[in-house]
Amino acid sequence: MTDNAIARNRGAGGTALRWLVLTVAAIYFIGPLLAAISFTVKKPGGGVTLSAYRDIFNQPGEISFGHALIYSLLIALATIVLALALMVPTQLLLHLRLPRWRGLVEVICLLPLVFPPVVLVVGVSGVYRWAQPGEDGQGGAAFHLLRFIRDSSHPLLLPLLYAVMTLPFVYRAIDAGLRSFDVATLVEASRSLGASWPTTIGSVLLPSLRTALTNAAFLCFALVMGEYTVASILLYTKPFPVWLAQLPTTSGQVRAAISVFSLLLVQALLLVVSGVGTRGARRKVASS
Amino acid sequence: MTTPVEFRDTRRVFGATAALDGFTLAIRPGELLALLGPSGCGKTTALRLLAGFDRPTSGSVLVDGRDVTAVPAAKREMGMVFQSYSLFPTMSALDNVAFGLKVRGRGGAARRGRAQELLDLVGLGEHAKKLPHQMSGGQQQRVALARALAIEPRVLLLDEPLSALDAKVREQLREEIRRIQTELGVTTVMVTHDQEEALSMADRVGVMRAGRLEQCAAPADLYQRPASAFVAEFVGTMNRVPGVAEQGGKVRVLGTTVLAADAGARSRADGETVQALVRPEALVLTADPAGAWTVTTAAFRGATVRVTLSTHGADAQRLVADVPAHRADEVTGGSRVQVALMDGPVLLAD
Repeated sequence: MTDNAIARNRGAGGTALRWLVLTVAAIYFIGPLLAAISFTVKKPGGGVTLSAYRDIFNQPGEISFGHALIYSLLIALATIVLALALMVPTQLLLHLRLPRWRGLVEVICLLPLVFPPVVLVVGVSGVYRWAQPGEDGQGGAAFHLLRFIRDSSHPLLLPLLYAVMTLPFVYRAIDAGLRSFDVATLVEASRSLGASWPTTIGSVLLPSLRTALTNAAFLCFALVMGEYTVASILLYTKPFPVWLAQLPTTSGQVRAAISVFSLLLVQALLLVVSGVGTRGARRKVASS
Repeated sequence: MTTPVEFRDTRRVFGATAALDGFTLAIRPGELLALLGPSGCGKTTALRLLAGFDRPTSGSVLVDGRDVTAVPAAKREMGMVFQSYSLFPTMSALDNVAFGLKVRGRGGAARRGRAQELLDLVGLGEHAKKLPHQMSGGQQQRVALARALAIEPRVLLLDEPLSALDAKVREQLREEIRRIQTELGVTTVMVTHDQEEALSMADRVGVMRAGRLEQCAAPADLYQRPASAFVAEFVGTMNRVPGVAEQGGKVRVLGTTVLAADAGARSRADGETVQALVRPEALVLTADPAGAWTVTTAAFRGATVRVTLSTHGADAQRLVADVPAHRADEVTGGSRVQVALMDGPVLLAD
């Protein structure tokens, strides 16, 4: 057999293996989704119906599907803003001024992976117990502040906790972004051209980190949209995963329809966010 | 006319190491000065102090007669070209060049017009819309040069600007940078470890060693009249040839008596063994089957042939000599030759 024939055979073997891996992965990921979709549209007597999807919007109770979804989306947005506002300046500082502290900060940021979310909730409960009002029923400033944070109409507590839980992912995403280019030299180039620190960060560093920031935001979003433990233990009923788990309906078809619908909706939202980011970058280049 | 750049007894210490130690240098208006030296000699530290990226431990840096030691980089009006190009990755070539003007509040049309002019100047007018990753290394460095020049800097700083490029592009860009610098008359400080680059581009070359300036002179002076053995050996190729000191500041080397160039030569005792520093082109080779030297290698270099010579025995020596190309047949590998020294003063090693 000639070398070319051997190479062709190897190439064909490699392609077949790639297709096999792709097919297995597709079955693994898409198979359950297709099965769920099939189940939601199946009519008991045979045939197809979309009644389970119509019932999503007709659920009894104070909280509707739309309310729960928007509530979680807002929490996700607040979490993304908080996590990025915390980690972007920290990472810039670590890369530009305090590289020796990187190891320590990395360990701290990875801690939420080591401790389960329940531990975090136990810690928060301890803080609330400590700030409980005295016998006169009048709490101190700490109590009022914590009650305000806990209030379910503006649940600041959840984004605060989720920002901690997303630290490992946000840290990794931004760190990888900053390692992909020479931050120090870009800063020096910008500064030597007369740019202030805010201009350097806003016009040079953040656009260069666009992909890393988008990745970090996606990870935050995915975590918040699926987080049940913390919200449930802290007795929040409005977040989407908690609402989904506590639906009064006994219909398995409706529950499955809500899962499928929310999954597809979240995917669509992620695609929209991703598309906006890419188009923004393209427009900037085209306008120059 | 004020001196555009001046270092006054500048010292920069990192821990126990002095990267710059009593560094004093004045740069003339419109000249291109190259700081040359081995790794760790302090040349980049000097450039960073001048750019404002770092501050001296003691001493001062003056620009146009004003002490700028405490002035931040953003307010120094220095254009800098980095070794790694460092173009802003999300901006087009035009936006990169226009960035400094935008920061200075120049209007959109004027800004883009000036940026386009500078891209034309560096020969990249048609690449204005390209992103950095869509350009070659040479093109990126040209854009970086245009970006640095756009702000009409008081001083242009070049930090090893050609070291990341391949040989052919390096040579082209070397000429281009020199042409543009001369055309604009901008005072320029370049840091390099490549002596060929420094000698061919600069009006003056400052050779540095261990944080100090050993000598600052025009390239020809540096080559022909080095102030120290270190400069002599660092710039160009130099042979160390054993000789014997004679009276009157003379030295006998390879059978020829010549004057020693350094002032301390007169204090050497008559008959003292010395090491003379001799350039390859100062050696005269004569083909002789009974000669003491054997040609080890002969490498054709265009106008000359670089020959490696050696002697045999316990005290074997090695020399490098340049022979005119038309005499290449006389110095083929394995042939025996006699070696003599051209008349002229020689420098003695420490």
